[in-house]
Amino acid sequence: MNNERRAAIVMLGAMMLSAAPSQAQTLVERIEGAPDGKVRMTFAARPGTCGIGESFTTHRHQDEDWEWVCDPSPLRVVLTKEDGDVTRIRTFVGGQWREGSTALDLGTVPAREAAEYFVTLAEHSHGHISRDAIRPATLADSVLVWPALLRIARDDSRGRDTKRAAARWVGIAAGDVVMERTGAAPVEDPEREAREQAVFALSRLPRDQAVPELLEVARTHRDPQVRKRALFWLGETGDHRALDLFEELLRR
Amino acid sequence: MIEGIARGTAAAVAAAVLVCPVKAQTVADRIGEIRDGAVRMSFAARDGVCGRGDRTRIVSRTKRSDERWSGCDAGLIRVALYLVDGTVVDLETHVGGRWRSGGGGVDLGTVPALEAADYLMTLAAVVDSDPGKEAVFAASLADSATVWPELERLARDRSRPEEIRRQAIFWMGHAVDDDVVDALTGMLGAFSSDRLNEHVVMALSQHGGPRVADVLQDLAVDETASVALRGRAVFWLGQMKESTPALIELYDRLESTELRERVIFAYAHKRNDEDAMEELMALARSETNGELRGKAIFWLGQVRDPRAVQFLAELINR
Repeated sequence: MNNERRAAIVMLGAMMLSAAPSQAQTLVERIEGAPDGKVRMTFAARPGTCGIGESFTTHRHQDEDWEWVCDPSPLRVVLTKEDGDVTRIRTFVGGQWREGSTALDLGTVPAREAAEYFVTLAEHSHGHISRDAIRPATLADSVLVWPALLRIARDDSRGRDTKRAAARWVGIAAGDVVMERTGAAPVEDPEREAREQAVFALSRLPRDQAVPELLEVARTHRDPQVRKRALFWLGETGDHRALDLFEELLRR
Repeated sequence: MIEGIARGTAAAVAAAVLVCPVKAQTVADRIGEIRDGAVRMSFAARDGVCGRGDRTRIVSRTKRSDERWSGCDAGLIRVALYLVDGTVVDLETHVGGRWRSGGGGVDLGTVPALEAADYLMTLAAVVDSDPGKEAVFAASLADSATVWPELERLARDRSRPEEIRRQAIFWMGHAVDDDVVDALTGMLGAFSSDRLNEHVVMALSQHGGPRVADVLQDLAVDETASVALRGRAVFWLGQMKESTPALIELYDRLESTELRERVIFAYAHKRNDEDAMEELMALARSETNGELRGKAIFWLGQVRDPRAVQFLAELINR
C-alpha cells in the first residue's frame, strides 16, 4: 500500500475509533487487520437503489402503464487484498452471499462507516481502485459524499476515469436535488422524451459547443426532469464549469 | 510470398485462348511456354487508373487534380506472374513505377491491353484464391477492354470460389459502360449467398448514376426481397453522390421503421449536404413515430454541423 493511502486510512481509522465505543474495532481496523484474500461486507443502500447483482440503477423508471418495483436491498461489497493492499473492489445490490467461500465476512456494517472508508480509498488511491471505490461510497445510505467526490473530480492528479466517475455521481446528486426541490409531481409533457433526447444529442457535440448549451438548460429549463437530464450529461463531460454548477446547486 | 496453389495452369489458359485465328504468338501462348519462374508484362491502363505506392485507384479527371491525389501516377499496368510447374501460383499488379532491374524471370515487355485482359480473365476462370482475384483486378484495369460480360459470367459461375465471384461483381461496378447497370440489376437477389447479393447492390452504387438510384429505390421498397438486402440498398443509395432527393422520396415510400431508420442514418452521413441536414431537422421536429424522431435527434448530435447546436437548443426550449 502506498504511504499516502496508508496514512489516510490509518487517520480515518483513528477518527472512527474516537467516535466508536471503547474496545469496538472500527471498519478500517477490521479491513486493515484482515489477511490477504477476500473481505465481504454488507451495508444499507440509499433509497431508490434498485437492481440485482452488478447491474443496478438509482433512477426510478415508470410510464403510464408500468412502474419499477424497488425493494430495499443492501449493498454487498467484496474487497480483494493482496500483500496488504486492496487490489479489487466489486459492488453488488441485493442477492445473497454464496456459501462455502473462504472470504472473511465482516457482516452488516454501518453505512456511514463504509461510505467514509470508500471515500478515503477513492481520495487516496489511484487507478481502478480509486475509481471503483466511488460507487459503493455514493450508494451508501444517509451519507453526504458529494463534497469529497467534487474534490476528486477537480483533482488533476487523479486519473481520467476516476475524475469522470466522481463527476458523474456529483452530477446525479445535483439532478436529484433539483427534482427534490421541485416537490410537485412532474407535469405531463408529450415533448419531454424528445427534449431529453435532444439534451443527449447536445452532449455528443464537441465540448466547447455542448457545455454552454447544457449549462443553460440545467440552469433555466422549466422542466426539472429536463434540467436533471442536462446535469447528468454535464457530469459525463467532467467539465469544470459543470462542477461549479453542481456545487452551486448542492450548496443551496 | 506465394500463397496457395492454383488449380489451373497457364498451359490450359493458353489452350483456351488459342481459338484466336491470329498466327502471331498471343500473350497466352508466350506464358504457356514457361514452366517455372516469374513472368512480367506491362500494358496500357484504362483512363482514370493511377497508383500511389502499393495503392491503386480509379480516379476521375477532376479528382486527379486534387491535392489528395497529386501523387497518384498514371502509367502502365505491370503484372508479375509466378509459375510453378506451369501453374500460376501468384500474381501481383502494380500501376505506374517501373520494374526493378535484375529481378530475373521473363519480361514480355509491353503487350496489347486487350490481349492481356483476355488472358487474365481466362486465368481468373480457372485459378483459385488470390491469383484469381488479382487476375480479375488486373483485367479490369486494362485499357479499352470490355471485361464486364466476362465478369458477369464469372460472378454467376457457381463452381468458382465466392471470393473471386465477389471480386468480379465489385469490378463490374467499376465498368464504364452503362449497360452494366442492366446486367447488375438482373443479378439483384439472384444468388443464394447474402454476401454476393449485397455485393451486387454495392457494385451498382459504385457505378452510380440516376438509373442506379432508381434501381436501388425500387429494391428498397421491394417487399419480396429480404429486409437485409433492402437495408443495403438504402445504405448504398446513401453513399451515392447527390442521392438526397432519392432518399427523401424513398423515406415516404417505405413503411418499415427499420428501413426508415437506415434513411435517417444515410442523411446523417451526407457530409455538407444542406438538403440532408434540413431533412434530418424536419424529422427531429415533427416525425410522428417517436422511435424515428429519436433517431433523427440522435444523429443531429453526431453530425458536425453548426446548425445542429442551435436546432437542438430550440427543440429543448420550444
